Amino acid sequence: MKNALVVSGGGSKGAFAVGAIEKLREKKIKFDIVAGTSTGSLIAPLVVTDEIQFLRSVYTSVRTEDIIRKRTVFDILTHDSIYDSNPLWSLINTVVNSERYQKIVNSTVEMYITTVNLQKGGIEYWNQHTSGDGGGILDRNTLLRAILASACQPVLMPNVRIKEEGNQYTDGGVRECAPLSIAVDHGATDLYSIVLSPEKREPSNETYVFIVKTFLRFLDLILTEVTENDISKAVLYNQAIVYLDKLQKKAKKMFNAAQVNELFNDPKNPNPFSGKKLLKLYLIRPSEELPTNGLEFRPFTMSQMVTMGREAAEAALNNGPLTV
Amino acid sequence: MIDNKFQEYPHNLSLKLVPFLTVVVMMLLSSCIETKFVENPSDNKIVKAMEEWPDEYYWLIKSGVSSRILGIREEGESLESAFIMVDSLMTQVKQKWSEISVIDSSEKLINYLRENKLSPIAEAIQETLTINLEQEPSGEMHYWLQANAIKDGLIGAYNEIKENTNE
Repeated sequence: MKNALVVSGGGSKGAFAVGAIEKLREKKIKFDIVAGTSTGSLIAPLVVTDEIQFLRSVYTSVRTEDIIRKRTVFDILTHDSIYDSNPLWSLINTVVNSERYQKIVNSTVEMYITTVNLQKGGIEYWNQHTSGDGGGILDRNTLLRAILASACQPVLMPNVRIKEEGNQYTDGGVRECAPLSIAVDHGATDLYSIVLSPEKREPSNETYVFIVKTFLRFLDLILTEVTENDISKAVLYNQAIVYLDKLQKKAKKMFNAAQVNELFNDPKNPNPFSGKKLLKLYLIRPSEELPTNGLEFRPFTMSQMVTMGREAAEAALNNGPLTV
Repeated sequence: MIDNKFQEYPHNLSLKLVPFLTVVVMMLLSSCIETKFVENPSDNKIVKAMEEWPDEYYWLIKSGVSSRILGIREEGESLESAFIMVDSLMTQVKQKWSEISVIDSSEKLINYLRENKLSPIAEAIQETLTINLEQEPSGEMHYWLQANAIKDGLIGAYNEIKENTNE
């Protein structure tokens, strides 16, 4: 059994995830793998070091100005993004200080930070143990830049060069919002996936005139779509395993062992699900829309979202894993 | 004739202005500056203040109490009514502050709040202490620090809720 925590993107909605993680840890659930996208990547390091109360403190104390700085109209026209994310860079550096970086590197918990390479167009994961030069340990500066890149929503926040003079990277949520696949690829069997949007969405009553507001809505819709696809892939994976298992049992009644073996272990047509185990997927998500657009960080709403996350995690554990 | 000129003027102006502005915007966009992230930036003051023991413990209790009070919410309750409830509870705390501020231990503080119909706040404090004690058993020794951190957390929650009321 290998437990994985997968935290999707959503900016300040990450406070919901913090509440859910607090509840999971209170229930003594430990993680072997922690994968995050965007705000999930900001949360991941403190889950790896198991400093959940510190994580709560950070997520319920910081304000918008600790994350982004507004630019003037002239600055927007002459820069690569609408907001400056240097305050977030400073926050990441303070939280993941040298001591904490060392704890992350020494930890047996595998951390995966999801980013999108703008030049290549593909997803790139950053792991503290294997993503360094020559497949070794990732140095602190690169790890921190990967976390920053993962959290920088395109257009709103600047693209990040994770390595000096290297390619530019942006929010992993552009391609994969809930990085379940990397956890499954590394042997996770029990997945605790925290998604920051409700399953059923109410229509918005907003009028979209201001460009940033429209863009935020656009991003929100894209992230929701990407997230739903990520989840449905995991569900489909489970459905395939269950189906093949049933088929194999049926075949055993109809054919002899050699024939069954030939059917299911044909080297010419290798079974992509051979040896794969059924996933236990605990999906933790809000029952209603979270009270923020994701870019506003305010202690009251963040604290409320922590409470909502705790309740949702409790409910998800009581309901058990998703059934096929 | 005069009328015609008036009609033509804005038209002529826009004919000259639009291309001019377009050229200016294009020039600005083509000279976009890439945002730089320096190595070892200055620390975030809020997080830095949470760092060192016993300050770290103090901050964890303070922000834990504050965030748990701000997060008080009945199951299924709307954000608006949760806000009203927290606001009402904190207003009562403010009214009793002269008595609360002199209490010097967390136990007495929790008992006082329970006895004065402020149980949700007492439970939020209790929960914070229990969780932090698990992670930092020596924290119990700092009972005087706890009481001060709790009071700081109460003030933090009060200020936050009032700041939201004023907006």
